[in-house]
Amino acid sequence: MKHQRVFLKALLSLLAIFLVVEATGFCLVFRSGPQDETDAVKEKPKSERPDGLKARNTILKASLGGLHPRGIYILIDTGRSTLFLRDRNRVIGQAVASSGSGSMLVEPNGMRKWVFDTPRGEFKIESKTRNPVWRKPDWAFIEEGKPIPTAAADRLEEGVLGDYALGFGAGYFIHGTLYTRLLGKNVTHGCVRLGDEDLKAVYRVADIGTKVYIY
Amino acid sequence: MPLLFILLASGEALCGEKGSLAYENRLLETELRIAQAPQIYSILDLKNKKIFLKARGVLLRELSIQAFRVWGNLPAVKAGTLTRKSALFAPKRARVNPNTGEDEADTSAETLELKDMPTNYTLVLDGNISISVRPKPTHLLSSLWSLRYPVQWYLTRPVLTVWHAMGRQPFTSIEIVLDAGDARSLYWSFLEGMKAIVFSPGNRP
Repeated sequence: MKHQRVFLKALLSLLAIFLVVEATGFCLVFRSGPQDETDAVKEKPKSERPDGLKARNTILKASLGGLHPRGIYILIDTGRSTLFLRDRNRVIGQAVASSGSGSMLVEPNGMRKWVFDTPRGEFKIESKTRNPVWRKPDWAFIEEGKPIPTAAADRLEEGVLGDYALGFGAGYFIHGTLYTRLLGKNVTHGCVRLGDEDLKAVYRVADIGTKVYIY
Repeated sequence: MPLLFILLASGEALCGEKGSLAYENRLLETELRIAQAPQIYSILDLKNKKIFLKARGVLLRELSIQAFRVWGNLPAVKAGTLTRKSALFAPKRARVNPNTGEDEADTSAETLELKDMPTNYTLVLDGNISISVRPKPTHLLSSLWSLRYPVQWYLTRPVLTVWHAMGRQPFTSIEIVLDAGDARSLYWSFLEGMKAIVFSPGNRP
C-alpha cells in the first residue's frame, strides 16, 4: 500500500512537471516575436504606396525572368525517369530516361569507393560526339572483377553508348543504351540513358552550352 | 453612414492589398538572390499550399500541399538551407558486389527508385526550422492511425520549444501533409545543402 502511494506521488509529480513544461512552451511560442528575416529581406518603409510596390514587383519579376535560360534547355526528372526538352515554359519534347542507380561499389582492398548517383543541379552541354567510344573507368573493371589495364587502348569499348553522347561535365553523359528494356529504371552509373530516337532528337536540338537541369 | 462603411471597407482592402504586395515583394527579392546561383532550390508556399522546385526562376516541379500547420513564429519570408533529412525508414544504398559475373541487365533490383522513398520524414532547415512531412491518409485505417499526429504535435512541440529556449535558440516546426507520391518526390528531389524559401504570410501557431 505504501509503495503504491509513493509510486502515485512520483507519477503525479512527473505529470505536474510535464504540464508546467507544456504550459511554458505554449507561453514562449505565443509571446515570442518572429524570427529574423533573411538578410536580403529587410522591412520595407511602411510609407510605400501600393502602386510603388506593384511597380517594384514587376521589375523583380522581370529580373527573375532575365535569369531564365535562353533558347532550348533540358530538364531531367530522375525520380520520374523523364527527360524534357523545353523552350521557355513550353515542353517541346519528352523522353523516357534512365539515371544513376544510387548503389555503391567499394574496391576489394577498401581503398576507393564509388556512389552511382546522377549529379543534381545546373549543368551545360560541354561536348557532343557521334559514335562515341567508352573509355572505361577503373570502377567498370572492378565491377566486372577484372584487372585494371595499364594501356589506355585496353579501356576503349565501342558501341555501348549508342550513336551519340552529350557530355555535361565531370565525365557524365547523356547517351544511348543496349539495354532498352531498362529505360525508365534507375540502373546507370550516373550517366543519363535515352532510347535511340529520343537521343537523336536531343542531339539535334541541343548545342554546346545548352543548359541542363537535373533534379 | 453608407459612406463611412465604404470608406472603412476600401481602407481595409487597400491595407490588405499593400500587405500582400509587400510580402510578394519580399518573396521575389529573396528568390532573385537565390536564383542568381547555379542551383536548384525550393519554395514552400504555405499561403497557396504549394511546393515549387525551381532553378534560375524556372519552375521544374510543383507539388500540392493537402494540409499544414505551423508551430512557432515564422516570418513571412524565411530563406534557409536544408541541413538534415531524417526518416525512420530511410532508403539504404545497395552495395554492388564486384566479380559476381552478373550481367548489367540483371542488377536492376538493387537500385534506388522513387517508390523506395519514405512518405513520413522530417526536413530540418538551418535556424532550427523543422518540417515534418506526412502522407495523406488514403483509407479508414490510415485515417485513424493519422489521428496520432495532432496529439504528438501538441505534446512534443511545447517541450521542444522549451528545450531550444534553454539553449537560446529559436524553434519553428511546420507539418505538411502531401499525397504519398508527392511526399516521395519531395524526399527524392530535396537534397541536403539545397536552399529553400518558406513563404507563410499571416501564419500564427
